Amino acid sequence: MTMRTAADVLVARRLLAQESPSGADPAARAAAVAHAYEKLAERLSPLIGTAGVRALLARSVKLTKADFPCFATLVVPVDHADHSGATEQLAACLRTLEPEASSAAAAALFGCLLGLLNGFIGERLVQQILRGAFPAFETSVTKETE
Amino acid sequence: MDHRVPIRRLSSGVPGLDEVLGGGIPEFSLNLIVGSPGSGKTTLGHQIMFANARPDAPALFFTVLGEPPIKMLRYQQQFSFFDASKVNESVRFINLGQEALEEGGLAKVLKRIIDEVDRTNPRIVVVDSFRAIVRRTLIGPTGEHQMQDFMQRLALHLTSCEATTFMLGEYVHDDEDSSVFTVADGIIWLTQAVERNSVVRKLQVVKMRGQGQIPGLQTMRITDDGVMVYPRILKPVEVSGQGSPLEHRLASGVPRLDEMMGGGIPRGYSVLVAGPSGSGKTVLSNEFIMEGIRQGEPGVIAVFEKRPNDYLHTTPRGADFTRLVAEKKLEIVYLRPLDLSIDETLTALSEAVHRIGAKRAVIDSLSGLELALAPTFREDFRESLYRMVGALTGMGVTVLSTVELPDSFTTLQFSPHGIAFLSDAIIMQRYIEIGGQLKRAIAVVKVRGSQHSKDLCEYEIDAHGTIVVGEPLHGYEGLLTGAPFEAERRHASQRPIPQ
Repeated sequence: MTMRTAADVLVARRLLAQESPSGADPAARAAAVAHAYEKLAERLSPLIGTAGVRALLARSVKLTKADFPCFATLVVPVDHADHSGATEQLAACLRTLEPEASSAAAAALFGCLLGLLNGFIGERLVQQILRGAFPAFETSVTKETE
Repeated sequence: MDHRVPIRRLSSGVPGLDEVLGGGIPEFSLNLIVGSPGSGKTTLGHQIMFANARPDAPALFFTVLGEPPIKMLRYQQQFSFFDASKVNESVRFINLGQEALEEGGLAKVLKRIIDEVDRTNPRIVVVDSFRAIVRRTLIGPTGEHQMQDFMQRLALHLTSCEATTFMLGEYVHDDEDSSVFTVADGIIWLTQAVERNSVVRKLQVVKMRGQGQIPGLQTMRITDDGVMVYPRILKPVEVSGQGSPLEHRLASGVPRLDEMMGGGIPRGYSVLVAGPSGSGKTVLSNEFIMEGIRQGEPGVIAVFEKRPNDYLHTTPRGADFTRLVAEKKLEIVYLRPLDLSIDETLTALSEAVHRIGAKRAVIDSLSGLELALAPTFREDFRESLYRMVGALTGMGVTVLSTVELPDSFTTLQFSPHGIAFLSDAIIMQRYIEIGGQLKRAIAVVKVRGSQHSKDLCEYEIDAHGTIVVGEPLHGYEGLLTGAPFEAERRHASQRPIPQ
């Protein structure tokens, strides 16, 4: 079973910190996380299909909810043509949390998603996808940090 | 003046395939790569795409209802041709699963492909698998018409966009969608031939408009480097300045044997050395190679029964051969046994010949080669050997093959495969008993187009592993029965006893 590694969570935390405005209210922070997911999903969908992205998110939710029960109610819709359903639910979950807990939960979920991607298609492709989705994100720094 | 429109050909990036296709893939053509599941369609499509994609001429790979794309990426990146740095740069993957599943999926798939092609201006387009689209479409009463329309529009659009297209689909041979097959400019069919416990991959270029492909089933293998194709017929090499083979004789390394052959082995001939176990076939082949290298003619030895290191340790000239291999004057070719195709053997041999400029080749032995072949090729051993020997001698190489043949004292046989007629010259070795001792005898049975000795001569292998051919065994009769008589003694015994 693929679990998130500390390195994956660290990358996710840095990525989300870059995408979220500092000092923003919980709603704005949750929206920023959801938007980051949308950007990643948009980049990934052509490659592995919308259904493929949703399947990975569903798996990430399943693996993360033991540590972060806030995701227990997050059900990734299987019949949507786009990612909007999942994005809205993700934002709704995170809005209910304190800023600290919200950041940790979002980083864990994203870290798990990156871990799954690394396991399936390899770190090199994942780094390329991240660079495509988040051009300002320094993936080389990621390696050093690890 | 030639008024024909020039058609550029793209290299497939698949070793051996361009030759089979007749020079490469015609630019702007629409090609089908079809076959049963696991036949290598996706791998072949990827390999062609990665070989041709450049930032200024990108490739689009559309996946439709086939293998989940995430798994395809996972597995395909294991091949050495998969260049991850090209992904999302010069190679773009686009999943059309969603469009294909929706109502009116065919039109949506077509629109998406056209939109992406217009936007990206690709040089290569791959659709995997178009059969999935066909299956869904053909369910309804108007399915066939829709499919024709889809194919025509797709082919027209992609051609007008100057894209070379590959559509991958799961088909078996009696399962043809005529509209699809008619529209295609090229059809490459992949199969897996099962024979007892072995499976041999085959590739057939069924159609390739505008150029002459090599017909028939070609052997194909998938390795860590991707697909490799082994053409059945190698491109003939023009060997210049050779003249008639009989004008140029090669020394065999055994001077007396050269005399018996009428002055040596004619250059470019295929020589068969047949004899029982331990009769010195390998020794003679060693001498043939050593003499060649002394004359400035590098050599190649194909072995099947032993690995090269074992061969070098046990063959009489092993120490010399080890040095010569290091000096690149000799190559020992060893091929994986039991599921080999003759075409792989030939490719490996011809590559070795080109690498070191070999003029002599030894196949030691045909019995080992036959065992190493997959069962399907054993059945066609004569035809396979004919192709291999023909291709090697066609390159100007003189070939010496050994074959083990148990001594028979009732029949005169030179090969267990009925392949003697393929040889230009035959040297026979056998055991005979003379004076209560087991002796070896050698004879030249055939040298095509040349006079040769009819003598059966005794020979020895000395302590240095050298063959020493003695005088003809003229005083004996019944040598081939294995138990000869001294002719004089027999005639004396048949004389009437004086009264």
